[in-house]
Amino acid sequence: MYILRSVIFFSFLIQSLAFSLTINQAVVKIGNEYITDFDICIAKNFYYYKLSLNDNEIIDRLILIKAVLNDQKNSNISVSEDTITDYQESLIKDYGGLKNLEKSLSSYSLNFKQLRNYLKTYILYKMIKQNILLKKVIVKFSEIQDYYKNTYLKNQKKYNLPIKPISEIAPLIESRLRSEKASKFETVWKKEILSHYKIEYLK
Amino acid sequence: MKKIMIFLFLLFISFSLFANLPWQNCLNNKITDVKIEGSYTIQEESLLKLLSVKRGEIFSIFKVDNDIKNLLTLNKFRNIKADLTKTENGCSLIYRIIPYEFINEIRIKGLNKNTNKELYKNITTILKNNLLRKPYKINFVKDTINKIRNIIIDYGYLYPYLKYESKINDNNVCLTFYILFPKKYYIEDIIINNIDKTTRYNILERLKIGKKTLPSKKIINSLLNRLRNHLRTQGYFMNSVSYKIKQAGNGKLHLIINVNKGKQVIIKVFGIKINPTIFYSLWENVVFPPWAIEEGKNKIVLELRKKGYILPKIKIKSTEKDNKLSIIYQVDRGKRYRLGKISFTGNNSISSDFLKEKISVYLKDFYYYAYFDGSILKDILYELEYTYWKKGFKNVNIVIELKRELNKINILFKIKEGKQNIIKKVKITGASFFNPYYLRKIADIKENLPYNDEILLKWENTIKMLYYSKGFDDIRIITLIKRDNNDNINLTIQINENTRFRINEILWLGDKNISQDFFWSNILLKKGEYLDRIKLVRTRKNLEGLGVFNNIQIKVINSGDENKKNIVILTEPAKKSYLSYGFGWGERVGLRGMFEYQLHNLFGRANSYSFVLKLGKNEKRTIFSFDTPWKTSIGLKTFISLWMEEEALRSYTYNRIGITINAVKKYNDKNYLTFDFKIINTKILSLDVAESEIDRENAPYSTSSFSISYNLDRRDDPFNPSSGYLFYSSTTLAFNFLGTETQYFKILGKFQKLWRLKNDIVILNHSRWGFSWGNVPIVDRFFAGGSFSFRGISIDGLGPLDPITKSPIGGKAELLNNLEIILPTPFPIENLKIAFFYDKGNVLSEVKDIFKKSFDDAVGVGLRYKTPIGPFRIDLGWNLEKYGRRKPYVYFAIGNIF
Repeated sequence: MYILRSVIFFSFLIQSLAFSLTINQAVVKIGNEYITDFDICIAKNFYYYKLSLNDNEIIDRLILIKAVLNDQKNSNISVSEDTITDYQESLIKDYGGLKNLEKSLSSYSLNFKQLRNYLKTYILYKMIKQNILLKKVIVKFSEIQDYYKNTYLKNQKKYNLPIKPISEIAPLIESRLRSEKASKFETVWKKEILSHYKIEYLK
Repeated sequence: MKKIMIFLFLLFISFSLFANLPWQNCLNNKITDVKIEGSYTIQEESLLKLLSVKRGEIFSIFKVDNDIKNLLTLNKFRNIKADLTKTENGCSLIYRIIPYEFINEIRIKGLNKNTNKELYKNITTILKNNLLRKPYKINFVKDTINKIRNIIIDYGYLYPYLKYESKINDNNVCLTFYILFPKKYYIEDIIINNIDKTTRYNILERLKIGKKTLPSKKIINSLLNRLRNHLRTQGYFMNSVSYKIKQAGNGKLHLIINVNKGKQVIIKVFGIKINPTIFYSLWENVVFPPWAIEEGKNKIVLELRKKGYILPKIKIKSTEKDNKLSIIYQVDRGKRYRLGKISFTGNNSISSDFLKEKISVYLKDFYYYAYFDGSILKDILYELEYTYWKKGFKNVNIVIELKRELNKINILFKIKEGKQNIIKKVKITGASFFNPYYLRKIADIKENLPYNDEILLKWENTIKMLYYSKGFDDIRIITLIKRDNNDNINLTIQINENTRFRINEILWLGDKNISQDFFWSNILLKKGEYLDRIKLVRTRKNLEGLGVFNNIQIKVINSGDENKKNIVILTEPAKKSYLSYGFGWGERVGLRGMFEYQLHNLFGRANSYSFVLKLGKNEKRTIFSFDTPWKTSIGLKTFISLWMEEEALRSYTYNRIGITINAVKKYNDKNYLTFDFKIINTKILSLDVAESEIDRENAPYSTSSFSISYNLDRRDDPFNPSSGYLFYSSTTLAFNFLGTETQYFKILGKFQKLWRLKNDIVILNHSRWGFSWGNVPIVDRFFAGGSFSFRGISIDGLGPLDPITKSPIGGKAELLNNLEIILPTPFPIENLKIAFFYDKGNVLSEVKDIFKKSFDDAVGVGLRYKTPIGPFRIDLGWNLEKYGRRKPYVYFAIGNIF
């Protein structure tokens, strides 16, 4: 009896929940553009599907994407169809096959052409970001030398590890210094780009 | 326990059904109904037309997302929610509009007038100005709260409590602010470390800072800045000053200021008097003292060059001991120079005359009187470098050499042009709609031109505009630049045409303050056509020209079809009535006042009614006019005016009542054709000439006339022209019509030409001619004499005079010419010029007298002072025919001869 009563109660509950649902709305206004719940779904499933990000983190990234693409509207960087295809292929692989990807797309009422448009946006943003970081983040040889002298040699001696010549180790040092500089620069760069925009949270 | 487990299990099942996408249940289902709810500003039926989701289609969340974004771009709503409901046969979709909420009420609790009257007033003013009747935005409210917090702190209430609550009812928001501050704090003591007692006393005394001072940021920053400036005057440029506040209990604070003086730099300048503050900025952040010392020298040189001391000699001596750096500049400023010759060497590709022309604007003031301001040499250098850059010389190097010649300085520009980048080849790829040869022709793309960014931009924009006019709204153009071994440029213009769009719907949203058919007659775009951006711009101009809208936005938004776009025209109605008034002075009419009232867009046809009243010592004018933008196939704007005027002139006083219909064909603002039809009834009220000299002197008489006039203005500025030309011509035929009596034929013409020469000299020549035949009443005759026609006679005094009263009777012909040369004055007063003029002309009784009568000559001098509405002129003119008269005629006027 109790179970029967519970089932009846929950079936009404289910029906009431199914009566009307808000399926989409704008979440953020950035400049004159909007980010919606649907955009968050797309980003979650096709951009950042390898990372477990919460909604707020995805919103922050989408805001940055919109700001960067707007700022660099007149740049000469463009995304080729081949690059999009490569990304699409890796998506198919990660989804476990074309059929699985198609199933996922249909639940978002998307066809492949529309997916490619979304991917193009994301890839363009990444290319622009990389281009800016390459131009702005410079590692001088004197910095590599300093690191070799003051950090590498010391550490190698301290831990009794073999010492390699600078010519061999320079690329590794350069890559390390570049990623440190890039992350510092990125923080400043993001702040600078977003400062040009009025961001309004609507939800 | 068992019951709890079953309950939790079923709860989990229910909600796990909704862990999937919220529209899951409607995938592959048909949309049974689409509605929009909640729009108060725009009709819902209009908004439905903008949606891509249609009843009967299969549900698509992608389309729903596009619809939300498209509707939000109208900027009329705060947000839009899409609500989906499962129905028997499919799903029903409702777009719920969330309008902007407005703050219509503000309440304040805690703070009251008794606490502090001024503070209360400040806070309430900020809240009213920033928030009341504005859209409710949380960020904005927070910013306002921070502003208020800072003000409260400035009043000494250091730790205020600020909070707000909002109550929303429909779209009305009531904000309640809770403002509490427990205590007012005062600074009891100020401790400044590392500073002597005298300095401390002086600074605090000057700022009137003592006990019972409020700890406001303004006061503290003022104190810190005073300290910093004082330290700078003593040579401690690299000082740093910081502070902290310590609570001393019972509402009292100690302000502790730490001073780090840094190195002391003492700068002395001998040989000239100079403001020492010019060196401050050099030393504040200096890390390399020799640089600062050298820059200090450059600053001295710049200051001296501004005054004409072009070649100063400066010796520098610097010593450092303990923490003190001492710098002495021994200056021999030398002589002052005027500008001599300008010459160039190394300019193989650009002629010296051309380069001189480019820099003449910087040098024009120095040819007559002033000592040469050497500080402009930098600007001249930039100008020359820019000139070379435009010609493709990216690596030009220009060095300035100064040579003395008595009291003049000759400037030699030594130019190393470097390699000129020439565009050797231009290739266009990706164009399929337009033939690349056609694009080259339209954009005027040529090879063997000097390369610079401006020319590239010009080409790209021309091609873009061409594509925009054909519906290619998403066109992208990328130009790839390759250099060959000779530094020549090969360009590849890559065109990505993308989609060609047609127009899906055109909607007019907003207050419908004019009739629909009248509105649509001004829209040049049609549904189904290709989207033409040029027509979009012209449509906007048409709508702006109606004068009935305040704010016009034309938005192009996506439709459900990827090859089509919707056009949405958003308008706000303009003010319906205008009132203006003023006063002025005219040569003929004396002092007068003016009042005007205009009413726009009565009956929704963008027509306007205006009433103008002008009253002066010699003039009374009343004009009622009605203008309506009748659309004809040749685009004529029409006016009807009913007017009355009364004017007292030298020879007669008259009043007239008339009706005028004019139509204007505007080619652009400075080029137009006007057609006038007038019926006028004239009454001469008083006459100072013999009745036999004129027609229709006393009985009121009527005239009906038709005239055509043409105006072409190609001057650089209509008020203060210095180059170009103006042509005006008018032909009038007065004829019998509905009982009117007067018949005559009249031609009037004007031609003004201006030449701008070197050194800012302008030559102006103005010619005027008029001929008439038939019975020309005195009111319609030609009169001349005065600052706007002939400057060698009294107002209207040129031509035939009444033998007894000596008042002018006017003529049926006139020929006038004014020649003026306008020069910069020897006085360094901006906008002031001197003019020398020669006027020649006459007014003749009959046209045939042109060959019989002589023409008067007048010469004179005047001053011109430039104002935004034309030059203010003072002219002294001598009539060469009047040998007995030595005194000049004096004229005052505003505006050019026209």
